[in-house]
Amino acid sequence: MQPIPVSERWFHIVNNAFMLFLAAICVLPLIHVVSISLSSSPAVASNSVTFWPIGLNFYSYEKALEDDQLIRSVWISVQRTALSLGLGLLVNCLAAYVLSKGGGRDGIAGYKGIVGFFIVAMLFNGGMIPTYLLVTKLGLYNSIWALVLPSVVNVFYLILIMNFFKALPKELEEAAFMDGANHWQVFYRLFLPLSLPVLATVGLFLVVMEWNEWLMGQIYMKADNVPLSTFLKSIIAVPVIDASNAADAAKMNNRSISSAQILIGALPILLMYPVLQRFFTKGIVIGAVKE
Amino acid sequence: MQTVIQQETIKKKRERIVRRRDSWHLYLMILPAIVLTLLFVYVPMGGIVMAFQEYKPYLGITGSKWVGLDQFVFLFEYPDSSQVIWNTLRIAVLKLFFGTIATLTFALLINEVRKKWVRNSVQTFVFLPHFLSWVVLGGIFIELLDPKNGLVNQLLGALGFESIFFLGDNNWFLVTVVGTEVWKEFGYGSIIFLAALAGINPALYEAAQLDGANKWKQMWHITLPSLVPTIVVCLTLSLSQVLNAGFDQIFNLYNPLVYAKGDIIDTFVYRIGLIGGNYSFGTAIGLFKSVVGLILIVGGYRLAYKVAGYKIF
Repeated sequence: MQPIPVSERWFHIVNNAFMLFLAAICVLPLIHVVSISLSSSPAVASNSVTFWPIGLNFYSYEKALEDDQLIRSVWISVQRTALSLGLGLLVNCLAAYVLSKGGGRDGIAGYKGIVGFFIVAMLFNGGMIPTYLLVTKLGLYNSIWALVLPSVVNVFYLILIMNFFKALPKELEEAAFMDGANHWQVFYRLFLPLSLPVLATVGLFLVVMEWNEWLMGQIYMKADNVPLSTFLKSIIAVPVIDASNAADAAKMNNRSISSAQILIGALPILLMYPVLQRFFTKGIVIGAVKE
Repeated sequence: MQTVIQQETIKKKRERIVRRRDSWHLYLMILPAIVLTLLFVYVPMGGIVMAFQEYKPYLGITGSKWVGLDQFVFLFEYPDSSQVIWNTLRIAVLKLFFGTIATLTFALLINEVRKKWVRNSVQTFVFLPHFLSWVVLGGIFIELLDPKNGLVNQLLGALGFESIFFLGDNNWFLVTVVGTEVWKEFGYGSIIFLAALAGINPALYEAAQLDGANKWKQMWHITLPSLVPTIVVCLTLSLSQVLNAGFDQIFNLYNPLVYAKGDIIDTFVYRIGLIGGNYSFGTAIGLFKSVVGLILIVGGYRLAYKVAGYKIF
């Protein structure tokens, strides 16, 4: 083992410090908002709160949760996320199972055409306005299905799952077919249990995506029926006029309350994050595996 | 002996018949995905004809008047829309340029970190912003960048600088949009480079060390050249994004004060087309964007395949 040169040791010290600095830059904005949401209103009003609550209290959370609309929006977000997760996994996995068989003797006729059909759908779409007109024409306006159905098929995840299915050993399914299993049984009893890592990855991504999505809620739902992210969007706005004139206590209180609302919106993602973090690196690696 | 072989072939034949009879299940299994895609992707594509009409909701697509390319002529003559196209390009290219540099630099530096706990905790923190929505981050940055009460301006004030209206001044808005996007994605984006770095043969470094190459030379002559294929693939694939300046982000941060430089195609379509009810005009802009995007995607894929052998299927 060679001794480490002095210049290199200095590089490591500086580099480690810089990396920790970047990590801090990434979380400090969040910590600042958490602190504001937990601080007393005089402390917030005097701008003395930085990265630690001053005059710790939960008043702004109580206030935020008193709002019936917020509770209703949380419930709509939960429904929407659950439905999208269930349907999304089911529909994409079924299609991935079929496409993983390829176009040969084991697969379906017109395989190439169907692959093309999905690829075109991934690359090109009608755009915001024709899709909006279609959803309203279908009578889905202000229905939870308007938030769910248009995004069920996700070609990117379909490909990810398909690549995973393709990599499963062929002998297993051959044996199952020999024993008289049909496609549904092979799919449900063999492919799904063997694919838990990819299902977990796609599932977690779907949950994050659906929970965070707000535009569809804004254009397809009435104001009292919007999911949480859309509701948050409606209460957060850039203050266009400079609020330099005597900032009253009520206004300052609003800063704590809207911070609390923002954090309630981010809470599920923050709670899921430790699990997410373990999966997503894998997910990308899985997605990158090509045959 | 012969009977055994015969039995084998019979068994195989029977198996084949069973599976062929069974194969209609496969069509049933893929049906939901096909129906949903047909309905929610292909039917709206048919709605694109609106771009060549003067669409009136009460007349519908079949009854509205055809106007040929008038919407597109208007699109390029209307000063607002050409401004919006330039804004989109400017923001997207700036994001691409600074994003790639930041991501690459971070990947190279974090790869040098030896202490496992530093590496893991840094990665945990820098990946986090990627998973938060722009609604949440918009709220956070509006609080943080407030011209009077925001923490950033408080800090600038303490250092003796004048306060900056980050979200209200056109030039600062550009800086903010590019900066916050880079902030959100540099950590997560580094994963793909880290995977490429992990794939470099360690023997190359050992050989270089024996030849007396220092860290800097190793990085310049081994690490960077090994990353070139990944960089090329990432850049060519992001070509398709030059008309996507990030609707979610802009929409959650912008306001009428910064329309001059901050308004992009997608926010313009939303405001003028959907909310303003100019369905045909909005569709025409959307179509322009989709077609350019499609050309760039196909071109980018071809290029990536030619240069780096990258293939998705």
